[in-house]
Amino acid sequence: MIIAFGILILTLIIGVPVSFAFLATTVYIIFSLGYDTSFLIPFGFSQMNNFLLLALPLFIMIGGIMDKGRIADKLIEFAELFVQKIKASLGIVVIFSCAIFGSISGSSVAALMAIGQIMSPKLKESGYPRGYSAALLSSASVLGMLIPPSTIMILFAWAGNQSVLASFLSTVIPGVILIILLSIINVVLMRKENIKKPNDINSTETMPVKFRKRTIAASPGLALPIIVLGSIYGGFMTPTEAAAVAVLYAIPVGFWVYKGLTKDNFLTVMKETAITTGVIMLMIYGTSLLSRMMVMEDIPNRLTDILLSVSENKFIILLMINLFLILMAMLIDDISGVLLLTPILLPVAVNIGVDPVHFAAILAVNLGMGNITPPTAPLLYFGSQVGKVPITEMIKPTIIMIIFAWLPTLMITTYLPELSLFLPKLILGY
Amino acid sequence: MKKLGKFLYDGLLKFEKVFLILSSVLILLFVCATVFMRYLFKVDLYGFGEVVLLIAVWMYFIGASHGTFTKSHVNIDIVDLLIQNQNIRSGIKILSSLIVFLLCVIFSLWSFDQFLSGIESGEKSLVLRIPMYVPESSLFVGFLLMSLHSLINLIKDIKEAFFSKRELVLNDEKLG
Repeated sequence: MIIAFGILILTLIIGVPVSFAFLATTVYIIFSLGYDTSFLIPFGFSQMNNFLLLALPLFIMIGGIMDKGRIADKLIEFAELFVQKIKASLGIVVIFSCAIFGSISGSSVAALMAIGQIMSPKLKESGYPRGYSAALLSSASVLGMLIPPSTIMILFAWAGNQSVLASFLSTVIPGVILIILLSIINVVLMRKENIKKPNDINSTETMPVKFRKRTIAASPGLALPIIVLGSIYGGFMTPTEAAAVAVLYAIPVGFWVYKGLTKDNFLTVMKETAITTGVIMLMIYGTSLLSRMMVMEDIPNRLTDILLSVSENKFIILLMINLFLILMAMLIDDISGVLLLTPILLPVAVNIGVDPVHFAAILAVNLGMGNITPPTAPLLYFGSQVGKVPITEMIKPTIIMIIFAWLPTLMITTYLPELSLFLPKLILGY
Repeated sequence: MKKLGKFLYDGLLKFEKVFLILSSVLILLFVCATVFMRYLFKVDLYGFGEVVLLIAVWMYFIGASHGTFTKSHVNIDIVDLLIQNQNIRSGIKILSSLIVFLLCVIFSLWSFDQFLSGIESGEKSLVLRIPMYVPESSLFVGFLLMSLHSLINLIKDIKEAFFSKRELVLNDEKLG
C-alpha cells in the first residue's frame, strides 16, 4: 500500500491527470494484490449510476448560465449598498459578492471568473494594489464552496454516505466566520493605502431610491438560492430536482432579463457542462475503485491505529488529521481531495468520536484553504490570470489571509463542533 | 489516407460535441418533467429515472472522452515549476501522456470483458426493461474513445518535443 501511495504521488507530480493517477494506482493494486476486475469494474460503474450525482451537472450548468448571463454585475451593485460608508468598501463588496454568487452557482471557480472579471478593473481604478486584489478575489471565491449549495459537499455526502442537507449546512457558519475575518483583514491592510471611493454614476440618487432600484435589478438572481435552498430544505424537492428547476428558471433570466445569454454561449455552457461533468465523473470512477480496495485492505482502521499509537488525545489526533489534510490539499484540487480523502479519513474521524457532519466542515475548510496554498493552489493561479498579475505579487497578501483568516477559521471549525452542527440541528433536527 | 483519417476524426469530434449538448439538455428536461408531473399532475414517472441515468452515464463517459481531447482533465502543473531543462520537461510530458494512453487501453479491455458478460447475463432494468449492457457499454466506448484521443495527444507531444528541439538547434546554428 505504501508503494501504491508512492505511485499516486509520483504520477500526480509528473503531470498525469488526477483521475488517471487514481486509475494508475488502482491498476497497480489490482495486479499486485490480485483483485478480480470482473467485480471491481462493474462496482465502480454502479457507484456512478446514482441520482444524487446528477445534481453535479445541473449545478455546473447554473454556474455557467449565471456567468454568461451577466448576473454578477447586478449582484455586485447590490452588495455595494451595504458597505458604502467603509473606506475599503470595494474589497468587502468582493467578499460579499463571491459569497452570494457562490450560493447561486455552488462553485468557487465560477465565482472567481464572474466576480473577478468585473471587480479586477474596479479595484485597480480605486487604487488597490493589484497583487492584493487578485489574492483577495482568490480567497473570497472559496466561499463558493462553503456557502450552500456546494458541489464539494454533494460529493462528500455521496462518498461518505451522509445527508446532503446536513453537509450543506455544516459549512455555513465557518463560511460566515471567513467572511468576517477577510473583511477585517481587508479594512486593516488597506487603511494606509490611498483608496478612492468607486465612481458611482447614480450618486445623485438618494439611498432609498438606490436601494429599491438595485434590489429590483438583483432580485431575479437573488431568487435563485431561494428556489434551490427553499425547495430542498422545505422538503419539496431533492437537490437534483431543485438544481434542474433552478436551471430552467435561470435560462430565461439570462436570455431576457440580464440579456447576457445568447444562443451560442448557451450551447457552449451545455457542452462545457458535459465535459466538466465527465472529467469529475472519471475521478469519481477512479476513487470508487481505489477507495473500495482501501476499505478491503482495512486502511482506515490501520490509519486509526497508527494515529492512536502516537496519541490517544482527540485534540492532538484532530491536529494531525488537519496537518495531513493541509498537506494533501496543497497538492491536489478540492474535488479530487474530497473524493480521495473522504473514504479514508471519515472512518478515522468517526472512530475517534468526531461527528461525520462536523468532519464535512473540517474537510471543506481544509480543501478551501488548499485551493489558495501553493504549490498547487488552483484558485491562486486562476486569480493571477483574472487579475492579470504575476503570482509572486499575490504571495504576501495570501499568506496574511491564510494566517489571520483561514487558520483561525480552521481551528474554530475543528475545535468547536457546535458551530458546524448548530444549523443541521436547528433546521434538520440532526 | 491521412486526409480520410482527419475527416473521420473531425467527424467524431463533431459527433461528441453534438452528443454532449443534446444529453445536457435532455437531462435537464427529463428531471424538470419529473418534478412538474409530480406536482402538477400528481403522477410519479418511475421509468424516467432509468432513462435519465442512461443518458447521464453516456454523457459522463463521452464528456470524459472529449475532455481527454481538450486536455480538460485536472492535473498538477508542478513540473514546469520544478524543472527548468526543456528536454527533461518534454520527456516527462511524453511519459505522462504514455501512462494515460496505456491506462485507457487497459480499462478499455477490462470494460469490454464487462460488456460481453453483460450481454451474456441478459440482465434488464426494473421498470423499462432496458438491457443493462446499454448503459454499461458507455464505459467501454468511453475508454475506447479516450484511448484514441490520448494516442493522438501522445503523438502530438512526441512531435512537439522533437520539432521544438530541432527549432532550438536551428536557432543556435543561426546565431552562430
